[in-house]
Amino acid sequence: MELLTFGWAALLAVFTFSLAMVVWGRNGDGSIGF
Amino acid sequence: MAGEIFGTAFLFIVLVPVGLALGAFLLKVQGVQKAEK
Repeated sequence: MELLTFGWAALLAVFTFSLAMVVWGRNGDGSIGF
Repeated sequence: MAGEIFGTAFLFIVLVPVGLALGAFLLKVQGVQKAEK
């Protein structure tokens, strides 16, 4: 059953990491200037 | 019902800024301070 918890945690980690990679690759989150 | 919904919403409310901050941190380590105009 703890495998399911690990699976959810891994999914959330991948989601968060993907946001970081987008911000990094695009040199920012575009929240300031247009 | 409502607990699961708000719990999940809160989870993403936490995770999205963490992801943005992690990306900003990587830019800082890389030496980029601002997005180029």
